[in-house]
Amino acid sequence: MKKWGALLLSIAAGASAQERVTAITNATILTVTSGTIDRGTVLIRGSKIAAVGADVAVPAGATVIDATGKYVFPGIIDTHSHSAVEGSVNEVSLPNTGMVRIADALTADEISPYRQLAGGTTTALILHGSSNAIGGQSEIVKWKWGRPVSEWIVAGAPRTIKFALGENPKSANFRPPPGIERQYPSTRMGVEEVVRKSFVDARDYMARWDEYETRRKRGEDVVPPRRDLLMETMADILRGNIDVHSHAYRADEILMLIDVAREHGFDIRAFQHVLEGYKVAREMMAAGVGGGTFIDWWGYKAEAYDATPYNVALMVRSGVLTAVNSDSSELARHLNYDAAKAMKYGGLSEEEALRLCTINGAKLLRLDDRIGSIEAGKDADLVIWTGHPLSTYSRVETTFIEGEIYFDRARDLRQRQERAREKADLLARERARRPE
Amino acid sequence: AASVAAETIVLSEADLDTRRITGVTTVLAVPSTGIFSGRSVVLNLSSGPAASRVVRTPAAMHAAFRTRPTWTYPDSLMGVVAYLRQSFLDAQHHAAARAAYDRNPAQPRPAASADLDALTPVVRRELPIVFMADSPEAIRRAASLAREFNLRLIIAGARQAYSMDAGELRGVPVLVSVDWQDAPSAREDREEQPLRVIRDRVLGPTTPAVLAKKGVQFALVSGSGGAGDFLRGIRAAIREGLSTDDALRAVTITPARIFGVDRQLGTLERGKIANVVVTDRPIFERRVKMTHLFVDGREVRPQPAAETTAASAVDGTWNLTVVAPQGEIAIHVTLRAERGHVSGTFSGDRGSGEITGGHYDRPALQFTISAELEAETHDWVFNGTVDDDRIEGTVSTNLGTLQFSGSKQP
Repeated sequence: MKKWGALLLSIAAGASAQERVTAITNATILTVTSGTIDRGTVLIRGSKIAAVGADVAVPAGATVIDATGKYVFPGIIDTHSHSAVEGSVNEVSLPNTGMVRIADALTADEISPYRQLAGGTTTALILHGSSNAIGGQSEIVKWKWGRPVSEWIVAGAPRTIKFALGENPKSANFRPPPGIERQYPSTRMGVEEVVRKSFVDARDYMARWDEYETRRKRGEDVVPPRRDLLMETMADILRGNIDVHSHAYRADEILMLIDVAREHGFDIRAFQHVLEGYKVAREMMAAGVGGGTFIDWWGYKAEAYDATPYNVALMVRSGVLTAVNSDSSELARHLNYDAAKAMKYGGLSEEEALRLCTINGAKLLRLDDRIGSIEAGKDADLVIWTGHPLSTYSRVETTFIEGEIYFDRARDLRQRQERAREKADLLARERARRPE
Repeated sequence: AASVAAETIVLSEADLDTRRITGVTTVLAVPSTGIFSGRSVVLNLSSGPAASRVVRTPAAMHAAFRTRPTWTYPDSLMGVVAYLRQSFLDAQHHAAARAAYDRNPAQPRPAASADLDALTPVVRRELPIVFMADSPEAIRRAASLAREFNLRLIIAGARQAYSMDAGELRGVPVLVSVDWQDAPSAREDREEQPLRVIRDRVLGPTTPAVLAKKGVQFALVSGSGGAGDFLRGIRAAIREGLSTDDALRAVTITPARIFGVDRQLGTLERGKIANVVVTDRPIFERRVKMTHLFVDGREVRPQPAAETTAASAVDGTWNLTVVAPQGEIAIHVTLRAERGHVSGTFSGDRGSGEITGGHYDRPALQFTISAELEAETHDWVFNGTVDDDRIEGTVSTNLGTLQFSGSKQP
């Protein structure tokens, strides 16, 4: 472990007087990007980390949290979530449903984000499901439990979309109810064709708008073409305005999509699941594509058998930007364990393991200038752990997002009593109503 | 969207009476299926030819985030929102193309579309759009679409709006449905629920009082509840703190203003339509009787027997057959109706248990069963029309919308 003694200066000199200042002191700070600081201080001013170091001065008036014997770690980033979506996460009806948006169906009526906060997870990429070759537009959120869902959305984050290859989009795992016909495509060839055709159509659509603009600029009285939300989405992918995160298991289809992307001129940001990534890590590396995967979850369907827990280490060693992610509201509560397992399977260093659930995910989401490590100037998404987060004996004490506490173990225990009382009061109030 | 309630609504004299008996002289009749369900009409409940009752048509466009798990687009909530968004874009485009063609016939001729014609005044802010939305999140979803397309939004339902900030509803009239959730009779259904479910059920009836305090413009409506429950629902809101003055405004002048008929309706003023109710005691007191009712200046005498005899038409055991793709499914239901609320049990090929959400508003019967299918249970919502001892209609199921029919055991 590297030791840090340098004094890191506050950069928040211009911050307003009303901004709350919190200092977490005497903690073991796992910065992820700059090593470990023993008995250090993290200074939070407003929503940002103002300073980190072994020798940070705590300003008068700051709320001080003494974290002696405890660890401070960045909020965990889950690059594959389906939590907090009202209704289905799949718009199953068409092979390409790029017009639908997860942002339109976010809900706070689900407990799982709060449980994820209790597991140290603060940021998630909420993806459309995998029933279609091209699914809906995904959303990057922070679990600001208790706030309206519109505030969960990370402002200024890249737009993203879900693609899916293999068994799911060819309907092997999405059987329509009796009486309804199975839809195209039903083979891997068909899945590839849907993707290719969608981009051919998008080029035509863009050409129609270009022609309209040309004629309008010439002063002609022309009616603009119909705005088609699906084609707008496809065009925005081609313009580089939407990042593609593609569900994929098998090596052959990973290579297929890399080829199709090259042919049509768009980038793939990451393959999701990518259990056979170890076979094509060099090709992924060459194409600049990252991977979000599970450490030891496989065998649940035909295309998920040729898997190994060494996949993560093999991809990391090949230089592929790799993150562990959940695809599950349950697994999302302990992604730190999945990171730890990568030390056992493939011998990643502690620092490499820590990156798997923090800064690497931030890079896949292209938010590494804001989240994923403990650095002055970054969002104060911080978690205080009772011990090292790679140990199964450690648990979360407090979770901050942008300087606000969204989970605190002591507060939670208090709230259980308050909520029991509220429930009893409500039921008493209901009983007291005279039935008419 | 092209459907117009004024053209499709059929009200028998008995239908009119179930509403008149509660002192209602004017209704907003709303088509009730689909994402864009169509345009509503303001109707006076007078006797005489249907066309003569129309006060304003169309009064508003109506929409809801209704999903149908049928594997046709849109199948999911996010699909429904995308569908709404595309429809508003198409209406804007249709209007622009239409205008360009009228200006210059050398332009491409736009395809005819009754649906887009119906949406054109909505995107031009000439016609308001009423979104059905009960929860704060659904209300915010509607508000966000209305902002995106600059629509004149009205919210209907809003039974959980008690938890919203006034700022979120600024400039948005709300039609609060007083069809409050009853406490479930079984203890575990009532108490072993997440806190938020209990909160919404118990605090729902505080919504009108909360909105009044926050200065939000609101009307009270019967919603999906039976006509007979309207006054009962209003009384529940009054017990939770709504003043009787605010309640009275919310069923008279405010709805008249919201739908632009306040020059004709909503107050007792010289020159307005003579829709007048005379009661034997203040109208929101229990056991109130309507002694005289005038609609369009003419006295009508609703038959109080109508509702009680109507309710008994449902009571009994019914043998129902649901036509599913894999064959016919037999279900027996035993029902009892009381003031529009229907309780009872079901048994048959898909399990057994108590029915929920039962409602009877002659001749429309609605109830829900929890059907078992491959170890999972799904809500099947029956919507039928009762005709003597026969019933037929549709069931919304996880298998899609199915037909059903049946008869009452003698």
